[in-house]
Amino acid sequence: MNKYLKLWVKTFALELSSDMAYKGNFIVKSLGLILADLIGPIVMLLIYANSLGIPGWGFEEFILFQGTFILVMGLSHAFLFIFPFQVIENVRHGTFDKFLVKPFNTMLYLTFSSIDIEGFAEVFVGLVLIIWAFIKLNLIILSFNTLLYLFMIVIAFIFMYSLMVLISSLSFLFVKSLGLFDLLFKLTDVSRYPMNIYGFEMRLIFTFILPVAVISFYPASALLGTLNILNLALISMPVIAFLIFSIIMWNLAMKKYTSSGG
Amino acid sequence: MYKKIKSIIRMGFKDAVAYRFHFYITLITSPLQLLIYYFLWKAIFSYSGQEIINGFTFELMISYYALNMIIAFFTWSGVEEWLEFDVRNGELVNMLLKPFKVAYFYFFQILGVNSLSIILEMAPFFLIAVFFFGLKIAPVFYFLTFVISIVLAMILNFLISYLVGMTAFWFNRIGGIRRVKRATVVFLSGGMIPLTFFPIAFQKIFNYLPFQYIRFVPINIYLGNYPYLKVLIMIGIQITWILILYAIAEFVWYKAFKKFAGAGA
Amino acid sequence: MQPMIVVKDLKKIYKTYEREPGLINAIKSLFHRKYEYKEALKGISFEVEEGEILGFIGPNGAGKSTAIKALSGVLFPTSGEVNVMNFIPWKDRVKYVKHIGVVFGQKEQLWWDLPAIDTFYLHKDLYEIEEKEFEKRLKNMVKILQIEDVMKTPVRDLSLGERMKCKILAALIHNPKLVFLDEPSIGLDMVAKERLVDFIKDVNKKYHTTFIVTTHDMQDIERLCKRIIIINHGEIIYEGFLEHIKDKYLKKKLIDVKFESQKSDFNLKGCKILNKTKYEIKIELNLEKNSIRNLVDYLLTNFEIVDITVQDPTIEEIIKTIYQNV
Repeated sequence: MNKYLKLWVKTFALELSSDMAYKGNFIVKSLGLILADLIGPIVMLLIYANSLGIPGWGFEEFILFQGTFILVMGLSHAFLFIFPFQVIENVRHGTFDKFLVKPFNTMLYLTFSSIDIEGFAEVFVGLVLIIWAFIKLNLIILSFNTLLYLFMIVIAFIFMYSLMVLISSLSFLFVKSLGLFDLLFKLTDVSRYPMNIYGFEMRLIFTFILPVAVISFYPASALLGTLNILNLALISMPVIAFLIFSIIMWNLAMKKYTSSGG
Repeated sequence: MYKKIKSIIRMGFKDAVAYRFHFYITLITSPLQLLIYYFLWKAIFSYSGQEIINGFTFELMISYYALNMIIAFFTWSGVEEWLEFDVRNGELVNMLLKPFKVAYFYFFQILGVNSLSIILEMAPFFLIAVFFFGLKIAPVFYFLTFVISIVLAMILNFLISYLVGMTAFWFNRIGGIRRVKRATVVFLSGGMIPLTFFPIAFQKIFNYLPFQYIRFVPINIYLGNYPYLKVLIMIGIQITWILILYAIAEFVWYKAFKKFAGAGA
Repeated sequence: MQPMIVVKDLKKIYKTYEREPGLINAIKSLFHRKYEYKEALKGISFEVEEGEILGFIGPNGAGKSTAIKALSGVLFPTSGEVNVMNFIPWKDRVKYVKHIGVVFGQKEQLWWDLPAIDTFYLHKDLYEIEEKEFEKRLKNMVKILQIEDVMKTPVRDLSLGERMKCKILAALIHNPKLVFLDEPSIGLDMVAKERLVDFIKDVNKKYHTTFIVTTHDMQDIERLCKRIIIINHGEIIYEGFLEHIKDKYLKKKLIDVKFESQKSDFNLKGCKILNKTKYEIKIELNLEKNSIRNLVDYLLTNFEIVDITVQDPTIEEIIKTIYQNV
């Protein structure tokens, strides 16, 4: 475990210093990300100013929801997105073998060498929105609901991780996999808005079959007290199943790749 | 000259064909995106109990987003990314060695790419919007002026992208600038939400900016929100903005080339 | 008759930023940047006649590429005059470049995802080449360069050598009067290099096309160019006929010998030992003082030779020698 943590820290330092080499661009890029992320909340502000908004969610509650979404996406951006990117690029150029010859488990190596400093700008935006919502909604930080909230965010992160691993596995089977990333990623857009807007059947699908709803809907709901522990335990299970499924797919892909001569 | 232009457009088209897989993906993700908007606005409209929000009925709102995406396809302009790459790697030199003005070369290339987009993205998506999302086919006048206005919108967006791309001559890496540009232009042109949702004060400001003429205005032309005369005036303003930005672009290019050739990349 | 190219006192100064590695320095650079001025060309002057094949030699960073860029119109000099076919290259760029062809060894000039032939047809229209003339030249050049099949494959799938051949065709298809070749034989095998040389000579003879070739490859220079210009540190340090250089400066040979055992220490007139290890010795032979034949005889007598390599001095060494004599 130790060597993976070292790898993580090293990757972080490397990414930071290479980003700093183009300081102007790095700062503007991060500001650009923050700006782009703020557009969502602003659009929602306009919607709530002109209507009652989304059923079941007042404006502050929605900001909590959206902040959570941005936070989870930000964490994924910071720690996960580079994983499939590294895989797809190297498979495309035929250089993937460099990961296989390292004295690490390939999947874990990719996991701990995929840091993108940009993602932290998104995390920042997410946190700002969440804190704002906390204040406006008079939520108590040290409460059981917050605990559930944090737990669900971890589950959300696990889901995103599984998704990245799955996308990477599929890129070994399909040649033009950059498009695959976009496609599977579009599916997470479904969870950009609370599940309230979808019908019952769709909610079931997004909870138990492709559990994108854990990205933001269930964490925010947990915090707002609309779900209890039993619900959450039930909801977490598909995510764990998804994780196991993704790892199996990865191992299959690795077997296929290495057996076919690499 | 005409032959040269046709040749460049053809190259852009062929290039896009080599990447046609990307278009197939968009063909799947775009209806999905529209579907998400469908559910979102259905919920908002029914929860509010209002028939009309800011001048839009539910059907018109969906039509707005459908047209928004169609315009997005045709106004795609990757020149700011190309410029960044070409300037940074010195590959711009190749462009400079061709007996053709660089800006026009990029433009006709993009026109070529968007020509394929018409076939693989716009037309199919338009049909999907009509048959599944209730987009109405506009009367002749509005339809034709819509087509004209999105061609102009494409030129306008190209000029803005080109201006942004030229910052690469001074900043070398402009990924951040490009991202800011993308976000603000889409937002201010009504690409995220109709501009009528903004406070009146903002809308007044938008009238003095070129952005609304890229998406918001063409969409309104199609939806028949302007009387005939106003449509023509709007197109006139589009042309005016194109001329203004063209003049600015010529000046900036003059400076940019001096910097590039001066530095020699 | 006026020469095709007249260059007078061409100067070029670059401004660069210093960037040091490491995280601490990266953060430091957020606050303070160091500039450096580099004189790429210190004021060079030369002329080129129509129909010449001129060689431009010099080590990396000598200023060759800068000079070529100025001549092809993609660079503004800091000062000086350049006149090519009555054009000032950077002033009338769009008109000027119709008359020149440029091949950069290190740059991609063909459309990456499409077959080369698409680029050829694009050039036909861009350079306004007449239909029949185009087909004739295309057929002819394709045959000589042997790229019949290659030109129909996407450029990204070609080898470096195949790409180079296609680049050359693209640069010459419009029959330009002046052609710049910047490292044209990079990535080409021996046979292809020879064929390329023959091709250039052929075009030069048939169409009276002027060529300026920049390269590191002495063999290319020897086969192609009668006249050469040597540049180093932004200055012309030699300009003249190749024959003269060979007579004057190529009087040394480098010999590398690998052996299993030696009967005696190495000692022979006119030979300088550059490097010696237990099983290898590098010798510099002065052809004015001794001959290769004598050296080989001596080596065969005193060493159990495993391998011998005989080389011409590198350009750097020739330049060093020229410097010493200047």
